[in-house]
Amino acid sequence: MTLTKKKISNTLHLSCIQTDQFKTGVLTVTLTLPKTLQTSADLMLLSGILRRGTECYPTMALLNRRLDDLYASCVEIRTGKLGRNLSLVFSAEMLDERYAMDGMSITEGVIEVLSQMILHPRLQNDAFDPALVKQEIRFTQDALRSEINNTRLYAATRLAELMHRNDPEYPTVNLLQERLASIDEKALTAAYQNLLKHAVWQAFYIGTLPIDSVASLLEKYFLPLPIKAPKALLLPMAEPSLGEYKSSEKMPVSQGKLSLGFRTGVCASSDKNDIYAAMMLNELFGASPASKLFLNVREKMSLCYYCSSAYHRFSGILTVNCGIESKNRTLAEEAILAQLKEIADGKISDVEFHAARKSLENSYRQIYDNPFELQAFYGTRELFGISETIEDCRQALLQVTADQVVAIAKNVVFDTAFFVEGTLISDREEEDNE
Amino acid sequence: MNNSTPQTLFRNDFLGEEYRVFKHRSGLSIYVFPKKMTATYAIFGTKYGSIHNSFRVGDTAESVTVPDGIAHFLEHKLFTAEDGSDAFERFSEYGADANAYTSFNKTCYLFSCTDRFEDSLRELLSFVTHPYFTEESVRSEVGIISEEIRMYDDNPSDRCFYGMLEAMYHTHSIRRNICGSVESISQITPELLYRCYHTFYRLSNMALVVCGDVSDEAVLRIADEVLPSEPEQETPVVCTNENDTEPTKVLMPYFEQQMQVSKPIFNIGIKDTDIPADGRERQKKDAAMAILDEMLFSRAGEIYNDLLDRDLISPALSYGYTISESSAYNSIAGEADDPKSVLCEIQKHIARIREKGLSPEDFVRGKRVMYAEFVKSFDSTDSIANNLFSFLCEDAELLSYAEILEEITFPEVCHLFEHAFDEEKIALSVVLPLKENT
Repeated sequence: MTLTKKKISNTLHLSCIQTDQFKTGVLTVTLTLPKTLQTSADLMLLSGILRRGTECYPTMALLNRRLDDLYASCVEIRTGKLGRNLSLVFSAEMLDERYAMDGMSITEGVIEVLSQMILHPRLQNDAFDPALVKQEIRFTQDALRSEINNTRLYAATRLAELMHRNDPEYPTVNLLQERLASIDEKALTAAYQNLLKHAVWQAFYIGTLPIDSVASLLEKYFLPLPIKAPKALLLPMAEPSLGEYKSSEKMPVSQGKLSLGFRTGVCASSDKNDIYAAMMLNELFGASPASKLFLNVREKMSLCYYCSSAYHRFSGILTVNCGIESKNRTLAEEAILAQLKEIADGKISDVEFHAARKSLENSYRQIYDNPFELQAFYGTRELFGISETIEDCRQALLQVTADQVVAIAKNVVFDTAFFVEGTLISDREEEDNE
Repeated sequence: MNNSTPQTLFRNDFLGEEYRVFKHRSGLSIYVFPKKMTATYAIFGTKYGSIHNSFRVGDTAESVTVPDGIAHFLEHKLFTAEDGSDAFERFSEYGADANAYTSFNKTCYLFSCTDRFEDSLRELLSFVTHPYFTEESVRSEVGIISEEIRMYDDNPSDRCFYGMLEAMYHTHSIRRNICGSVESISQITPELLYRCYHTFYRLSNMALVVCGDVSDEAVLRIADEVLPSEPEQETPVVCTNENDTEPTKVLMPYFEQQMQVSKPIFNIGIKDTDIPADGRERQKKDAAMAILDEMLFSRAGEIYNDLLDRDLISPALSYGYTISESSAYNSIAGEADDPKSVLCEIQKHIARIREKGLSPEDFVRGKRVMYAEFVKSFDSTDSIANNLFSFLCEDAELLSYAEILEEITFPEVCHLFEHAFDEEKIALSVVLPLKENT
């Protein structure tokens, strides 16, 4: 698989992997801006309103009908965080034309729909339909409120908010709710135009067509682009610790959720050797069924069904999430910290180290099988000017030593804990005692 | 020379896909689906799930009933070997990503790998065929599974879905949670686990599916190494088909629960007891109903857009038809301030469509969507292997699905529509936000 590039305009390049491995093609157009509270609220709304109709397909029903006619092509619009930047991602998945029974040009059809959604949304009096904007605000606010339906997600979100407690621009759920309420159709239209003019644009295609064909179609439907001056994106930064902080909330649920946050001091802009060592640390600690958290906190101590860690390479944050009986909160926290200390003390067996490396190698290799993961891998690196291939990453991983992992682990700082205390079990126990 | 004989080659020239089925001398059916991808995916599973908790073995008239959740418990426990080691550790050594799941009618053990496939396959076949349970290991698993049950108990979508099944079905085991309950799993003993294992983990009741850049020879050689060269002596096992005794009507039209949710969520279930006995016919009904659902409930359709425009639902609305040998239903799930009025509006739409008739254009579109979704499902070894396993559990053949879709006619779908949404077959399950001070 070879990545090639072609200039569409001064501000847009198409990246392409031509392959017949998949029966679907993927075309992604990404618009990225530095993240602020306002852009976070704006992009959330735009991801909804841009699906509601275009100049050629004025209603959502007509837009969806057109996509269904194009052999169930699917266009997803979502926001994506990249450290201190935020993207609006238009991701189209389409059946490869070899399988169109009527010889339809599916790719051209989808590019036309994409251009309609991105460049020609339905406007009235030069603004989005006020009724639709109000409705999208309600939907987005409802979606934010519904995080409470999933306590696992809720705990992880609250942990992230608490780890940014000194940042007034961090888009917490409460601040987003307020900001959303203040947006009207004029403000949203201005935000949309600002996005088109000042975002960094990227286009990425994976499928059977040659790069020249896709580039011609993009030129046909997307030029001239309204880009004026793309804003410089913010480089990844390992955020410093704000000091230890613990918080909890009681909720009427059966299972407690414990989320712990740590700072590794290593992020995507750090020395490459440190980045891979941090990834290995995460793998050893809690990212696989062979990790210390899985084998000890779950299997040996039977404390939970899940207990896993994640390394956020754009912020250098390491998090742990687990679901436990609320009475075991202290026990679980101590057990998790003890496993991290084991790594910092160099207590890593050859078997554990080998398993962690194999697991990460497996993850890297599997990227070749998924067009969306290929796009995410190369697209993200392109945005920050990092030129490395999947094989480069795999090779770099093989060079990491246990000593490097220990060195990273020694610098990991415990920062924040958030706990959802489930009250249903204790209520039941009290009832039983009566 | 290996201990298997090629049975059948299935091929679809248009898709450019094929697979072979072998019958191993141990009695195991082995499916090898070659696919030039980086990851190879293997599933070793049994046609035994949570609904098979009452069965008769041999000529005995009396049926055995085991605690709810035992199939899922067994799935957890098989990973631990006699020496106390865990199969996960060995898969990790080989760089494979292993997992397992239990559904209503099957239990599957699986791995995906990009290296050392043969070592991982040997491990998969070996650990699943070597059960070892002790009082102590069973006790320690109760803690882990209890937390899993609590996790699902706190999941409003999961509870709403089971609420729908409880409302639709009178006695069918599908009403009960796959994991069982904290109480039921506490009754599980090593003896009961062995009993269920020896009843349902007979190799003739199981299948191995491998999809990836592998050869038939490699798969069969490992099977020869690990599995017996002769079939086991077997006594027949009988599980009643619970659809036979299940009334057409739902048990209750409305089922309500309260939980921590920001807004009510709902699951509308439409019960279907008209289940063809023949696997291919079931597949055909599945395909026809999928087209019908697409015509009625898709985001391109009148019902979805009307409900959304009138602020009756949130944008995420899911729908689908599920059919197996012993149960079938349609379901529509979403979020709404007033789920009862959503159901009422859907019924009004359906009545209107009944009067004016389904649209042939929507039929063509629905069929095209289902065809495209089917073709797209061949882009990962994971989805191919899982689909192949699901099809074989239903005595159906995967690659002929495109042909089945093609055969379905507009009049057939119209005929299906006539009674598919009769009021007596509909149950509404709702999870409401907790009232203040409760």
